[in-house]
Formats: sequence, C-alpha cells, structure tokens
Amino acid sequence: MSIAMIVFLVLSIVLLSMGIYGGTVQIPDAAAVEAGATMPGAFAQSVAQLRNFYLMLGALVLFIVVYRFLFKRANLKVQHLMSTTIRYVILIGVGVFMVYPLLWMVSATFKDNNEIFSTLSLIPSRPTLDGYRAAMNDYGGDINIWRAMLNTYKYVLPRVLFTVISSTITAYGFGRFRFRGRNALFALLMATLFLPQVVLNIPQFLMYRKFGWVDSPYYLALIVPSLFAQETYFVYMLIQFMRNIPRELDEAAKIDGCNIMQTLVLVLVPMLWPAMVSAGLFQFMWSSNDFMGPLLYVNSPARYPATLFVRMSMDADTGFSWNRVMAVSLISIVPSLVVFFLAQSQFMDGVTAGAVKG
Amino acid sequence: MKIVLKDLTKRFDDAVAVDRLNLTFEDGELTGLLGPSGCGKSTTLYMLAGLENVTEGEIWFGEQNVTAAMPEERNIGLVFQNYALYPHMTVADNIAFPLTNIRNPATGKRYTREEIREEVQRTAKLVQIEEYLRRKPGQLSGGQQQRVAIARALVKKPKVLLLDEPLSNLDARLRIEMRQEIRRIQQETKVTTIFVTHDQEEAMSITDRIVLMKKGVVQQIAPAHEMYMNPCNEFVASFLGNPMISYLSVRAGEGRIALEDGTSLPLETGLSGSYRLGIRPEAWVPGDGLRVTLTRVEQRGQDQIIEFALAGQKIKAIADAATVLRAGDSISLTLRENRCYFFDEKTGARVR
Amino acid sequence: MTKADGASAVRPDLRRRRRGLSKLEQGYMGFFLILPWLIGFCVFKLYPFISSLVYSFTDYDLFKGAQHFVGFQNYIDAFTKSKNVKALQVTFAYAFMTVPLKLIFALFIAYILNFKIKGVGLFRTAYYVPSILGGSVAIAVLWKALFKSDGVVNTILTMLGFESINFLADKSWALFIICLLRVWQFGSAMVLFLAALKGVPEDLYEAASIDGASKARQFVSITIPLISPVIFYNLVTQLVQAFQEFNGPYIITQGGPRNATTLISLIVYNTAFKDYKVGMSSAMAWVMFVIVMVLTLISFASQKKWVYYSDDDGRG
Repeated sequence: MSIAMIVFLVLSIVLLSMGIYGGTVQIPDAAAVEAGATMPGAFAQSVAQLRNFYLMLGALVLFIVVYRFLFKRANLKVQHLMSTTIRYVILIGVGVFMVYPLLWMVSATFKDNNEIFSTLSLIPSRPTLDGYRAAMNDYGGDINIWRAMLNTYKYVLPRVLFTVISSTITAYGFGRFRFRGRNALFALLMATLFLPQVVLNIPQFLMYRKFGWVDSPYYLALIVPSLFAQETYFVYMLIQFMRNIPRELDEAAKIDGCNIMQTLVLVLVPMLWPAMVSAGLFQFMWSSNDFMGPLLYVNSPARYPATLFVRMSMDADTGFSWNRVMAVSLISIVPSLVVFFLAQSQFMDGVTAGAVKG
Repeated sequence: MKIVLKDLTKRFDDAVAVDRLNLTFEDGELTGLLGPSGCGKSTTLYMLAGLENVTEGEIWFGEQNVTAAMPEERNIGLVFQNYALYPHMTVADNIAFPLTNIRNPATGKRYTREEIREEVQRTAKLVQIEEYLRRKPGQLSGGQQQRVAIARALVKKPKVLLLDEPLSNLDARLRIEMRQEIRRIQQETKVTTIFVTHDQEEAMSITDRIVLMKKGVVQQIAPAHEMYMNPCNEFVASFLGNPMISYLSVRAGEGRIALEDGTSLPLETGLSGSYRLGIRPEAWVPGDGLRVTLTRVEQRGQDQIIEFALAGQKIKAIADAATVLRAGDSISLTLRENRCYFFDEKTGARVR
Repeated sequence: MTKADGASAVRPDLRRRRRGLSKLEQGYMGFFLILPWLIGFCVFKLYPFISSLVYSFTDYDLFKGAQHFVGFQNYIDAFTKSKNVKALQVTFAYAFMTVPLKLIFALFIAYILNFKIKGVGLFRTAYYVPSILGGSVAIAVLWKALFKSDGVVNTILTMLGFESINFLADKSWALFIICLLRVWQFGSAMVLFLAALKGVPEDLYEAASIDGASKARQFVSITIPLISPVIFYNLVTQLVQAFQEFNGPYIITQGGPRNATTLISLIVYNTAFKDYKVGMSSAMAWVMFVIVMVLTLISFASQKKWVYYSDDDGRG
C-alpha cells in the first residue's frame, strides 16, 4: 500500500471519529448546557448506554473463536456442514432484518393503534380496517390518498416516456455519429453525472419561478427537463448498451435505404429495447419516490403527489394514529412494488449492465 | 518422491469415474496418463492434487498418506490446462505467489524478499522466461504463459509436478517445442512428474512410462516403445500409432490364416480358431504375398499412406516414398509377423 | 470534398448513383440528434450551475429580492458559523459511516450468496427490495415508526432486557439511525458485487489453493483485485449519494436533535427556503460540491494503485 493510501485511510478514520464525537458537541444557543456537552462526558454516556451492546459483541467474538476451534478439529464432511449452516443462518438472519420492517408495515396497517407498538407479532390480534378508513381522510376536501396517487402519475408517466425517448435519441447521437466537438461534449455529459442536484436546486427554482412553472397544474418543472434528456445516467447506460450493437447493422440498414431516424427506430430500438425498458423502470421508481422535486415545485395541497401527501399525513397528527400513517405509506408504494415484482429480472440486469464494464 | 495409489476409486452418484486404481510412480519419473475423454485420467490427477475428494482408496506420497490432506498441504505443483495465471499480477509475482504462503524449508521461517527474488530468478531461468518478469500474463503468448505456469508450479520445489493437458491449447509447432521443454525441465529438476493427455504422440515422445486408461480402468502400464510393440489388448493397440491399426476377422488353422472371403494371408501361425487380427500399417512390405488394388493414396512427404480393401475391410498401410503410387495401382504386399497381433474375438485381449 | 464529389461536378450523372448523405453530412446529423440535450444542458444545468456560483458571492435574499456583492463573506461564514461547521462534521461522519458499512455488508452477503445456495433468487430479491423502495418517503416514515421511543425496536430491546433508547431524540444515536436506513438499502450494491464475483474464474482459486493460500489469502489476493473495478464504482457512487442525502434526515428527524442530523443538503435547503438567504445557501451548496469533487478526484486518481482492469495489461 502506498503512502497516499495510508494517509487517506488515516484521514478518513480521523474524520470519522471527529464526526462521531462531533455529534455530541453542543451548539451554543440559549438552551441550558447539559451534562453530556463535553466530549469525554458524552463518550462516557454512550459507553454506559452501550454496555449491553458491548456484552453482546463480546459474546459474538467468543462464538467466533469457539467455532474456529471446532472447525479445525472436524473432518471434511462435518466442516462442510458447519460452513453451510453458518451461511444459511447469516443469510436468513440478514434477510429477516431486510424484510421485517416491510412486513411490520403491512401488518401495522391492519392493527389497532394501541396494539401497534405493543407486540412484535406480525399477525394483528384484532384485525381492523381502521387504518385504511382513516387513510381516506381528505383533509378538507382538497386532497386524499387517491387524488395524491393520481397526481403522482400525472408527472411520473410523462417523465418516464420523455426520458426514454430523449435519452435514446441522445445516446444514438453520441454513440453512432462522429462530429466536430463530439468528444468535448461527451466529456461534458460525463461530467454532469457527478453534478449534484443540490447545487442546481436554487437557481433552477428561481428560473422556474420566472417561467411560471412553480405549482404548475401540469407539473411543468418536473416534466420539461426530461424532454431534454437531462437524466444523464440513462443516456450513459444506453450508450454503453449501444456499444454492444455492431455498427454493421447500421450500415446494412443504410444500404437497405433507411434514413437516420428509420435506422434508429427499425433497427436499433428493437435491439436496445431491454435497456430502454430498464431505463423506463428505473425512472418510474425514482420519479415515484422523488421528494425534493415536488417539495420545491408543488405548493397547493390539491396538487400534492403521493410523496408530499405521505409526509403531510404524518405531520398532521403525530403520535396518534400510526396505523393510518402506515396505511397511507403502504398505499403510496404499492404501485412501485407491483412494478418491481413484475419486472424483477429487468431491474437486476439493468443495474449490472450499467456498471460492470467500469 | 514415490507415489502409490491403492485401490483409488472415484464415484459420481452412480457413475464410476475411476475404478480401483493401483499404481506406483517412481521417484523422478515422467509418467503420462493417457486415454480418451471420460476415461478418468483428469479425475485421477485432480485426486492426486487434492482438488477432488477420494471416494475410496488411498494416496501415498512417500511415507505419508495424503488421501485426506488439503491441496495446500501436499506440496505439489499443478499446471492447469488453461494455465490459471493470476491476471492482475506480474509474471514475477505470479511465480512468487506460492512462496508467500509457505515457510522456507531451509530456514523454517517465512521467505524474505531477497530469497523470493532469488528463487523467482532461478525458476524463471529454468523455464527461460526471464525477460518477461515485469509483464502481465495478458501480454504473453500461449507458450510463454505456459512456461510461467510451469515456473509457478516448480518454484516451491514440490515433490510432485502435475500437468493437466498442458499442450492442448498450443498450436502444432509450439506443441512439439514445448513438450521437449517439459522433458528438459523435468530432467533438470528430477521431480516426479505426471501429466495427463489424450494425444498419444505426445505421451509417447517424452514419457518414461505411459499409463493408458479407459473408462476408469487401467489398460496397460509400460514404456512407450513396449506399449506400442506389445499392446495387451485391442484398445491399447488402437490407441497408439498413427495411422491406426487395421483389423480383420480371420480363421487360423493348420499354420495358415484365412479371411472371411477365403483369401489367404501371407502369415504363419500356430494358432487355430477365430480371431481378430490387428495389422499395423508398417507391417505391410513389398513382396510376394497378396496382390491388392489401391483405393486411395495420401502423400506425406516422408512416406505415403495407402488404402486398399481386404474382405470388405479398409486396410491402411505405409509405403515408402521412393515410387509414387496412385489410386488404382496394383501392388504386391506381404506381412511382417512382429507387427501383427491376434486378439480374442470377444474380450479383445491379446492372444499372440 | 471527396474525389467522387469533384467528379460529379463534371459528370452530373454520377451524382445520382449515391444515395443518402455523405459521411460528413451524416456526422452532423449526430449533432442535431444531441441538440435537445445540449439545449437542455445549457438551460437546465449550465446556467443554474454558473448562477449558483454567482449567487454565492452575493447576499441575495429570496424575500427581499435584494442582491449585493459580498465577496467571500458567505464562504467564510460557511466555515466559521458553528451551525455550518457542524453540518460539515455531521455529513462527513454520516458518509464515512454509511459508505464503508454499506459496501462491507454488500460484499459480505454477495460473497456468501456466491456459494451454491438453494433459493439464491429469493434471497437476492429479499435483499434488493429495500434498495428499490428505500428512497421513498414511505420508508422514511416507516423508519420513524420503528425507532420511536415506544417504537418496535424499543419493544424488542425491552423484551431482551435492555433499557429502551430514545433513538431519534438521542444525539449519539440519531445519526446512526439515518445511517442505518441507508445501509439497509445495500441491495443494489450487493447485486453488482455478486455479478462481479461470478466473473472470477474458478480455477484461479484452485491454483491459489495449490499454491498454499488459505481462504482468507485467496480472498485478499485474488478476489478483491479482480473485482476492484466494481468496488471502485460502488465506492464513488455511494460516496456521492451519501453526501447528497436529504429525504431521511428531513422526514425522520428534521435535522434534530439539536442539529445532530443536519446534513449539508438540509442546511442548503433550510437556508434558502426558511431563512431566505439564497446567497449563503448557494455558497454552502458549492462547498459541498467542491468537497464531493475533491473526494471523487482522489478516488479516480487512486485507481491506478489498486484497481485492476482486465483490458489494461499495458505497462504498469
């Protein structure tokens, strides 16, 4: 390992520790200074709190040591059995950790409010549809869950469509043609991959305000950029895919009399289709989950999409009816879940296609 | 290091890949495991390496029973069919890798950087790959890659060197050159070597002994020349020799041999009964015996392969290149006894 | 001008033979194809990018609309005002906790899944679903429900005999919980690692075994170098994403308790839309951008040292 790597590692560890301890530094404000305001004090507090945690950690370490000891003494068959068992235990354990929150969420929607936090069981002892009934609340007639869902797809669907089309055309331009400045522009395209949205939010907001797009009934601020292939990740992904389609096909099409657009639509698109579908699916997911966008550009409750509606329903009366909040949340993600399960393999393929070739 | 296999057996579910093998490999010998695909030769090699589990039987390296030992404990070198070189490491690092995992037998401690460098140099010199030490495997040709693989196998001075079809990925020219290299290296290092191949020419050219296998069973163990001259059954006779041996069903009696259609063969024998007669191509020599009409002639430069029919069977023979023969020519041939073999009709075992 | 063109000027009948566009004209068609993107880029990315830099040097106020040049004052404030410094600290802590944890989990599970496991598909889906849903508001809300002072996790803790912890109101824990939300979504990174692991040829491990390498040594010397491109990709993308985290803290803790979970993106948002100080907000955004850029560049520069690309067997 070179010096640079070591320095980097040490630096990150230092920053990490700073960060964790820094989390306990108090901001000077009018409030009283607590006992935990000093770093050592806070650390001691944390340690006390984590005493049981450290006990469990110790037990784990002990287990590992004993396991290795037994393993070395065992014959081949038993070793194999031990390894396999441990593997399954880990996979199932972590799997439970992955899946339990979601299952709990579903079961919570059917429970009584009192019951929700008192038991761990996934089966409600007295199943009720109270949660769902309350979820139908329409907050003074402006907006209810169904309206909110509808609003979401009012911009998600156009966005998906426009993204796929514009990204494909742009990828076609970059991937199949040579023109002056292409390399420079391509480099620019790549640079935008690393451009954080956060930097652009405010100027974009001010600009859209001038255009009159803020709180537009057609969600213009959310849709229009996708017409211009501004989701760089998909353009990149499609260009990568296109690399695998031999250029001879383009030339064969040209010989058969196709013009540029015909080549694209009749020859390339059919081959590019899986990637396009992947892009569409991902954009569907991301747009459905988009929170920052609607937060900035949708102001009237009547136009709230699902993401804003969920937050609103949580703020509305905290601490009271969590079954309602869970029901609202669950309903809002059902379409995404359905789409995911229907198109599982495409998702996996899409993720790997974009990345494995560096 | 002497290697002994006792009743070595490998079963995959119901199929028996290796059937009660009993073999001894003497120290310093170069042995070829020869046979068609599926005969169990690679499986045997992998069991020797420890990469396959043994179903039954034992493997002994010298005085040690290594049957249950892990590959890393056996101190062997293995050259894979497609070399399995570490693509991200330089040639030098590839060769050095084994040394980074074991202790120096001389000092009992881990190898130092200098020791490693020395050993790598020495081994690279042995396989003649010194100029390429800084390169990565991807930049080397097939032959060079193989030398690196051999170097990596030998650097830790193993007791046994195993090679799995080492030459099958090389082109014809290179194959001949590399097999000589393998022989040279083996003789310089005197390490007990076993290599697996399906090419009989390869096996014959460089080994001390050949072990010929078929369907998990050893057919014959002998040095190349002997196996060729004295095959113990039809399979062995067919496997060695190019062009292949030709067979005829014959009836022997009263010192004479007759084919199915009654033709008499210019051969004498004391046997009587029905046999399959195997005739090597070089057994046919010009002379007064049979008159045959050639159906095909193949020029080989150094000789000609001629084909003719006897009792409906295609017979191949080798003729001198002096006179150019053509299809349709009629020539007189007779047989040399010592290149003809009698096999039992049912078992294929050699009778005479 | 190609020779044919010249010829066709003299022999017009030759011109008829060539159909379609010349190579040069074809090239320019490509330019028209990307024109929409280029326009979009200028309008939606370039102009805001530059404006944001300009704003950062002013005291632009959203409410009052006034705009005066203030030089580097905003940037100085970014590094001196305790609120801002804390946000930087918190964001770093968050990123350097989340990213390693997430990558380690992803690699660990991918490694286990790479063995012959029955029901690989089922496990893969189970691990992947959270990363699909995770970014959504619904899941953030769920996380809040789970880690409340009387939430599910505390119920489990009390059952196991520990005392309940008010995660979201506890300075030491709140950030960790947000971090956990991200780590819970390791599925997408895991899928990539799994694909990469499958790409490592089996016989390399066999060779290493013969060469005396233990399983651990094999992992370090063979597996890791050969999947390093994917490690690199995951590292960079996760790092960039971690620095931009917004939804989690905003919804679950609103940046509390006492700013323990106020990440940079939250500061940027609040400064602009609660305090109306657009200038200051832009400066903070730019600080974050520069940090992310520097980290990305460091990563890219370090590639040479530890990332192995199979088509890169040239010198070095």
